[in-house]
Amino acid sequence: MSTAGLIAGVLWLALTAYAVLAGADFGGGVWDLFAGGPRAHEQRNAVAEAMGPVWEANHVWLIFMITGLFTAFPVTFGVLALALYIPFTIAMTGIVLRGASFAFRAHGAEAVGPTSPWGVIFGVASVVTPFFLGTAAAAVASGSIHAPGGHLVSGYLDGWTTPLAIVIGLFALSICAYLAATYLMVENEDQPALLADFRRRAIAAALVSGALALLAVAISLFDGSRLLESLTGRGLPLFILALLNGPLALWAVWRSRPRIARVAVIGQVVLVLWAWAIGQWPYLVPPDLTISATAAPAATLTGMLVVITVGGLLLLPSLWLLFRVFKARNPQARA
Amino acid sequence: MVGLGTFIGLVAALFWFLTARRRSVPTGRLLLLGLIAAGPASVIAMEAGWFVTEFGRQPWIVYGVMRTSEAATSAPALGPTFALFIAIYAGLAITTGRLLLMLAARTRNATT
Repeated sequence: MSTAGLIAGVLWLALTAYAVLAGADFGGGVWDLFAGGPRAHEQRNAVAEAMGPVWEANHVWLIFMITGLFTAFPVTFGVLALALYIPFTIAMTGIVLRGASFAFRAHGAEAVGPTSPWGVIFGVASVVTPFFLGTAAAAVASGSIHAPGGHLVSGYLDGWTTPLAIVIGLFALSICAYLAATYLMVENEDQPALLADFRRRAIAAALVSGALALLAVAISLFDGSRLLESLTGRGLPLFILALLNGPLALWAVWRSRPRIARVAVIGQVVLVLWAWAIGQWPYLVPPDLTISATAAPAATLTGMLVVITVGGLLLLPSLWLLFRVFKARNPQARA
Repeated sequence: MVGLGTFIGLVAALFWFLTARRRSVPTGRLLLLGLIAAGPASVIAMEAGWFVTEFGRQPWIVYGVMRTSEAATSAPALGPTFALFIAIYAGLAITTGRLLLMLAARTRNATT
């Protein structure tokens, strides 16, 4: 594989890590917003406790993707930044407000007791951000961004305002909520009442995300978009695995097997993302921008590969340690 | 920037010199005031340095290679977006300040 292809693969891996880790953070915000019943307060605490130590680290992957795309594929970066200016700006606003309101709520509570307005902003931003990131992904996957020779010719609303994009945006939101619900099931294995709350939420999210995924496939059958071509072409094996894995994940949630459910739902996200990535390979943004044609000069790519390797040697063990300290069954981590 | 940087360095050097000579932390009022001023001064010096490099480089964005006007985005509605982010960050700054003051007040009440 070429250096450019290798770096493109690393960037897709970073997107996968972002979806699996930060996706669950967005989902946690969704469950914060929709906390209800007699244990609403405990549900919110469970979300805050699960997110607190790691949510900032999870955004490392987004920053890596942005800077990586900028360095290795500057033409693609420029086209995406223009074509998806509006959904990206909304998502960025959401990310800023989410982080700030999460911190304000936590520290504000120390000073003045619960500060609910920040809780609402946190919840709403958690819903808005994955939805618009999903619509942006749909614009790319459906081949709606046209930039022959690297010059954007499609409009600022093209691709992410279609019915397909709205369905995929809602799908992204529901799969984030699904991820979070299964993670929260694992984190509350020893609390039967909370476990049952998050099991019910996981089932609801599973059914909604499954229905939306099938609806997205149905819409692309009719509008003949590029997405169907990707999923029935090279992406077909992974797409079939996703169709098989979906019911397996739901079964694991239904039978209250949190750990199997968590693995299965992560698997679902990975399969969907890679069916898309491999389905549209060697394009980064079909139908005009390929990996090789939009790559930076060889010297830049080689330098970047060295930096990624050295940085990875530092970053990955650090992240492993972070998750081990805060996420393993560690009684001292629970204050 | 240079003046402030020199000032911060001198205050720090003086502090450590006096500490080492007297074998205890110096308590002179003027020196302590200087140390307090060094905090905000370092932020101002940093920002000033940023301004020098950014404005000093104009009209280039990459010196000698690309002009800022060539690099600017052609995206629509830059004005409203700029206004939006100014509003967001002003709001966040005010909130942060308020919360820090509240936390400080609480700590002061708890210690006295």
